[in-house]
Formats: sequence, structure tokens, C-alpha cells
Amino acid sequence: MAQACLRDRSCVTDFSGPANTIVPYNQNIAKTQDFTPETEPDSPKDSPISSISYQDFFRKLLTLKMGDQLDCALDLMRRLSPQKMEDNLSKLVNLVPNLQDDILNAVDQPLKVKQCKKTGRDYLVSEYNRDGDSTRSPWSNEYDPPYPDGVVTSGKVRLLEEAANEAFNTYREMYYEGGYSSVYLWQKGNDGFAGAVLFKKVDEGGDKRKTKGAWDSVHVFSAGERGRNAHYKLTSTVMLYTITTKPELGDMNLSGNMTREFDVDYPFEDQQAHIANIGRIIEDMELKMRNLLQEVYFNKTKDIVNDLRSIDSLIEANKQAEARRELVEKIFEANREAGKEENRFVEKMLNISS
Amino acid sequence: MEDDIILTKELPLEEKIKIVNGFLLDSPPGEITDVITDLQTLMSDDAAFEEGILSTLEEYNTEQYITVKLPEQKHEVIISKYGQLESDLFIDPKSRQIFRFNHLRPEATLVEALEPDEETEPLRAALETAVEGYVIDHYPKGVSAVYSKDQKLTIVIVDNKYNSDNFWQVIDSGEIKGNVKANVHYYEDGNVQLNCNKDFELTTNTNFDKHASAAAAYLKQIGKAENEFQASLIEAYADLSDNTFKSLRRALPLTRNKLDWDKISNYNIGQELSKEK
Repeated sequence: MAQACLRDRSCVTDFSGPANTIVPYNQNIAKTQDFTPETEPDSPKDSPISSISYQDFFRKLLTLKMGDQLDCALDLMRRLSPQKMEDNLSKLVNLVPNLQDDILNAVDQPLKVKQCKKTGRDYLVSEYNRDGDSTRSPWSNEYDPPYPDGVVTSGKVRLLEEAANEAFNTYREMYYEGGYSSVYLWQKGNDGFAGAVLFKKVDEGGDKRKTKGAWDSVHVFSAGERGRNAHYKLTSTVMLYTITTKPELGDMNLSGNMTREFDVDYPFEDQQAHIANIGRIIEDMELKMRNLLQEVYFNKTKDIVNDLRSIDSLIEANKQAEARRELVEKIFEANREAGKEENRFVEKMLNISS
Repeated sequence: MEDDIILTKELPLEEKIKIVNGFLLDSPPGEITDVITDLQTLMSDDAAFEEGILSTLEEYNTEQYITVKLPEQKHEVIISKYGQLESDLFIDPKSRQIFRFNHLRPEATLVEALEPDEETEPLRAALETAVEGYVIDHYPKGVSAVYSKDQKLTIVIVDNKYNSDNFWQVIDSGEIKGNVKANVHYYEDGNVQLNCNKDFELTTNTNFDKHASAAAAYLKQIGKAENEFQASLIEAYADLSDNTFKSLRRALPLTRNKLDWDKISNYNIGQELSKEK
């Protein structure tokens, strides 16, 4: 099961599967169809006509229903409190255990921090380095607790993974000034690979400030080589949690997640160009996401609060608006009068000249 | 075929219903119908589902103070426990009606006229007028009600477009208890929610001859408290944006330049990779 789960993940980055992405509501229907090929065990083409039986019919029906159910499960996760996301997710999986793998692959959860037993360095735990109950450290490439059957990254891809971890560690220091980073890569097809780049930073607030916050970035990408170009597909999710507690405010919790997708072709000459390319793509994406979060969290939701209730008197504001309208009206009137005067003057002049 | 369906151990039905009900209560304002539709698709047993969620819907509707139009009335009425007689019977003190509310639909039908409590009605009516004036002045789409129950007067103000609901209870002469709640759900490209709530205890001088003056005194206190709450919410937004957000992730590194990726990726790994090739 765990093996299948890991293999699924590369499908996820293929973006043809049930999606790692949070799609807008109106795309739900399209996604249902995408779901069918993976779960359908055998195609009717291969079987003799007589065997297109009720069993096949029901299997197909079940497959369709599972697609529907997955859409509904994901839709639900976009509505329930992001503050209770992990709890909601485990309950949801209990409700529809047959969709467990699909749901866990599709919904990014807050990242956990774990210490690598071998190197002592911290790394991030996610679906991308979990196999069974064990997690793989990007620093040692070993599972904790030990898991001999666990999928490890090897060869060229492991070298890239090591290099990517060092590069994004530098990036983390420059942008997050603390926090944690981990990169996990896996082979995809013959000459492609996919991976996840993860960052986490927690701000405990300290004594003076009344706020706490946490930022989790999950960037899942696939890279395919096409001659001298490489094609990259990226899906990025940022989870941002904030809590403010003050006597005059009570408890304020402003939290959630946002997802964006991007794909691009970049030239590449050798393997290490992949890291620079992916680095640039993720750096640009994080800047865009940061601006988006700033806008949605601190402007949009605040504007909505102020739309719901106005601190200033609306009656007073209406009076002032009315007074302004009257003033404008008067100016128009005056202009019209002045215009008439002007016209009369011009007419007079014309009459004289003719 | 059975084997194909049951891949993992299923929870007993009552456990599932418990989870479903928890999800329903967690629905953002105005989205309960969507959440029900999702859950209906996830649950195969329709009859058990409808039966199992009925009492939760009642809880949701009364706690979220959902609003509904009464037949032949212009104003909207609030579904709240302060105006609840039985599980599906509610009062509208303004039009003095008792109405039946279908928690599943949701729609209201009139039942009979309401006899107001003689003792509290004068102050209640005065408060109602004052509250309506206040709502017009501060809530562009607000709905309000003033209830009298067990000698207590309760003011409920709701704006359900994205949800803000406040209730204020006039306990005794001069003492006011209240709770203010704001909930916003933003779901383009994701799921972002604001939850904020605060309890209040206020006192005011209500030593007036006229009920209207007492009502005005209460509303002055309530208005002041709500304004202060909203101002500190706006202040918290600025603090989050200016401090917390910046300390989590910088917009640009200290150098004010993006990273030189060719340099970073060449550093100590180039040789190893070319060896592998």
C-alpha cells in the first residue's frame, strides 16, 4: 500500500490525475473524468463481449462515484475551518476510507519538524517523504524508524536531491532567516523527475507581541527533458496561520491556505541547471504568493469586516454624500447659467458680424 | 463485488453521523447547503443521513442566527434560541407572531399571534426602536431583533452576508452582557477564514423616566463597545501585516536582490554530478 502510495505521488505531479491541486469549484466536473483511468482495473476492450457484465457495469459506476466522492471530499476541505484542518482531514478519511490515499495526496497538511538521527539536522515531514510510519531524512537518505522496504532516492536523482537541499537551505536563510527547509525528489519515467520543496517558519511572537504565526510552503513540481529544453510544472500551496489574543479584541484567528499553478520551459545544459531553474521558478512563485497572501489576508478579509459593519455613522455619511450631491448640482446649475450667458454673448457677436 | 468496495474497515454508522454533524457545525456562514450536498455524496445511506443531521441543523441554524423571511412580512426574522419556543417554533417579537421553521428546508410558516409579556414589553419595544436606528447607522445589511424571555431582554444583530453576529443581553437594570463574533470565508484560490470573537460585560446608568431614554443609554454603551472592538480588530490586522507576516518571510533578502542561482547551484556539487554522468 505504501509503495503504491509513493508511486501515486509521481502521478500527482503529472497533473493528469486527481490532482494535488486545489481547483476552483467550477472545475470539479472535469476532474471527475480524469479520475477514471487510474482506478479502472481492466479495460472492456480486452475482454470478450459476453463478459461486459453487470460486474463491469457496477465497477464503472463505483469508479464514477468515487470520482464524485473525491470532488466532494476536496470541496468540503475548502469550506471547513483551515484552523482545524488536520482534525478535519483525519475525520474525513475515517468517513470515506476507500479514498484515503487520494485525499491525503490531494490535500497539503501543515508540515512537521523532525530531527535526523544520523546528522542531527532538522527536516520536514510530509506525504512526500513518508512511507508507512517511517519518514526519510533528506540529509541522510535513511528512514526513521528504519524501514528496509522504504523507497529511497538513488543515483543521479539522489545527487540532485542533495544539491537541491543545500541550495534551498541557502534560499531559506536569505528569505526566512530561520525556519526549516527540505527537498525530496523522485524518479519519474525514464528521463524525468519530480519533487517537493518545503519550507516552514514559526513565529512565536514573544512577550511584547500578542500574535503568533506559522508559514508552510509546499511546492510540488515535475521536470521533463525535451532536447535542450526542460519543461517544469509547479503547484504551490502556502498555509499561513495567525493567532492574536488581546483583552480589547478577544481571540482572533486568521488562517488558511492558497494554491497556485505555473508551468514553463527553460533551457538546460547539464543536470545542475535543473536546480538553478527550479530555484528561479520557486523564488518567483513565492514572491507572487506572498503578494497574494498579503492582499487576501490583510486587505480583502479586512475590507469584508468593514463592509459588514461601519465604525462611522452611515446616516452621517449619507447626509454628507447628499450634501456633496447638492453642491455638485448647484455647480452644474451655475455652469449652465454661465454657459447660457456665454452663448448669448457669442450669438450677439455673431449677429453683429453678420 | 463486495470485496471491491470495502477496502478498509468502515466506521459504524453512528460514528460516521457524529463526524458528519461536526462538519455541519463547522460550515462557514451561508455554505451549509454546499456542505450538506458534499456530505450526502460521501454518505451512502440517505435515510440515516437526513435523520441523523436534523438536530444538528437546528443547532447550526440557531447558533449561526440564520435569517428568514416570514410570509407577508417585509422584514427578515432571526432564528435564535432567545426566540425559540420549541425545536421548530420561534417568535418574531416585532410583528408579534409565532412561526414554524423547517430546519431542513429552510422556510417559515405562520402559526398564531404572539401575546407579549406585559411587564417587559414597553422597554423591549423602546429597545427595538433604538436598535433598529443603530443598525441602520452601522450595519449596511443588518437584521436585528429584541427578545424578552424570563425577564431578560436580549438584542441580536446579524449581518449574514459573510457573517457577523452579536448578541447583547440586558440582564438587570444597567448591566449588559454580550458577545461579538466576526467570521469571514474567502475561497478564491484557496480557503482563508477569519474567526474573531469577544465577550463583553458593560454597565450603564439607566435611571431614566422614559423607556426611550434608557434604551438610548444602552445602545450608546453597545455602540461604543462595538466600535472599540472593530477598531482593535483593524489594529490587529495592521500588526499582523507589519510584524508577524514580515517576520515569517521577507519579500526580498536583506541584499534587496534575488538569489544568484547559478552561483548557488554550482557551489560544491557541480563536480560530483559531472562525475556521475
